[in-house]
Amino acid sequence: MMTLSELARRPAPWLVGGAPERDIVLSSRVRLARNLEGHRFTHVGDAQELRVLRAEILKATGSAPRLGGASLWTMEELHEIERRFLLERHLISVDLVKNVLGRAVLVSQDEGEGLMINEEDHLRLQAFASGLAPDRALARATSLVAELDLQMRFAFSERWGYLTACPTNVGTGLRASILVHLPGLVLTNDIEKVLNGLRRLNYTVRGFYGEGSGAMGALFQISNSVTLGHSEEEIVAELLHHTRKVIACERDARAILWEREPRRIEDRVWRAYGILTHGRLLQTKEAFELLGDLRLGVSLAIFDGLDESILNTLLMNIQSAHLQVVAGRTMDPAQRDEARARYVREVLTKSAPRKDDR
Amino acid sequence: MSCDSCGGDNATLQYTEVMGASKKVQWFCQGCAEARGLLAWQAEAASAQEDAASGVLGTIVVEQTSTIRLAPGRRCDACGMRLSDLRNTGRVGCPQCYETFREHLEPLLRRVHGATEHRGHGPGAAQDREHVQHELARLRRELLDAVRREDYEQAARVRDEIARRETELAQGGAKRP
Repeated sequence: MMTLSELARRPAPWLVGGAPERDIVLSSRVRLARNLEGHRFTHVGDAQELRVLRAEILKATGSAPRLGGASLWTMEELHEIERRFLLERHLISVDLVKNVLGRAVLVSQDEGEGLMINEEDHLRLQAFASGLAPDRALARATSLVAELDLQMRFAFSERWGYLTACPTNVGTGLRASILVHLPGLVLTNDIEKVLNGLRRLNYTVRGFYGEGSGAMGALFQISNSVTLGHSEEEIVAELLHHTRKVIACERDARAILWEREPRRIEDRVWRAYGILTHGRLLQTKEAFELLGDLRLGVSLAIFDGLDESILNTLLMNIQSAHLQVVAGRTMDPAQRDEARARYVREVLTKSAPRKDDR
Repeated sequence: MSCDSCGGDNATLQYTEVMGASKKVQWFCQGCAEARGLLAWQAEAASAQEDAASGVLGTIVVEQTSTIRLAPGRRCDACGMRLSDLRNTGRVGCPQCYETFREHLEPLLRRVHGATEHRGHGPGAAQDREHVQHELARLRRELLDAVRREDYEQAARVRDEIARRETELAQGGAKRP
């Protein structure tokens, strides 16, 4: 059982490591929605009903080997900043930040799997993998859901598959998403063309924080919205296929930029490095943009000694609730900007020996 | 406001149809709107609000300008949810609702997913998978054993059997192939 501040002090394992396509893809995630047979869905349940359901689900998860040693947080017991921390960490959704009664989250020891209890559906399982590996995330999620399937009866119909509170999730209850970094397409102004192409294919494209968030630092989440009529493997394979096309476009864009305007790109990257290593106040949005530029610099080999793992971890840890959980106190925006700038300076000066300018 | 269909003066529903770059705005009275099936569309548009933003089914916009009295409609025996609740929240109340409101859900599912039938995993597959996994563990031991005995013919047979089972497992209990 981990504490939140222990969690905040270590990098999210699914953001680090020699992951496939890591110069463009940060992580892959799969979510499966399940509900218990014979119960009303969360949004119509009262507090008592939701607590009983939570207890029932927790009892069942007790015998799931993949959740052995998992950490449990019940939402009623957390401060809002702590819930926001879990949101920033991608372990819970906005729903659980706002609605706390009878809600909980379980997080596996290696943070590779999680289970939200009484979100829009009774169970929302998540599995993470670093880099472009939605198939690996699906395999993990499928194994976990199979363990739970032995312990409880999920609402299922032969015709419609797994029954969910919202008909947009019915069938597989699967949402696979891939977090990508597309600065090349943003700088060449081709990004809207590519994203609209994805939307026409029924994919949802969102910013780093998911639903309703704008894109900061050229980070986008691509996910499926069709959940019925195709198998889990088909949905993930399709997403993988289309993401590979986006990756190819991004590689082309970077090559064109580097060929046509190397000085402009170098300048952009070094300016970002300058501000990040010397600034005294950093707002989240600015930090995201600058770290995004730096990430581009790493992939174009403008730096050595810095890698994607360090930058991905920074992107996670500079968020407001992360800073406050690490500090162990609430901070006003000005204090957060100062703490953020200090933290970024410390990490970057430690790990970024500069390459001589050509 | 006069109705663009029958010319009567009690139009309450503004209907906006967006086709590519062109946009057509029309007004209808309750009766004409119903006759054209617009009320059902309106319910679907409401229940899919979340997705409209992402462009999944954002092609038809129906705006209500004064209260339209919808009959509260059928009620789910299991959870008490009414059809009007489904229209308002876009969510059903319990698993049973899928049967209760079947005729209203099917057009919506077809629009959102392009399908009305599940083709993925089902429950109970877990037991099958567990069984296959046990079998795989046994076969791998057998393979090691055969290699140790230098019985390569048997090893090849076991190896093929393992490959077959692994494929089976990877296909993960798909309900329909």
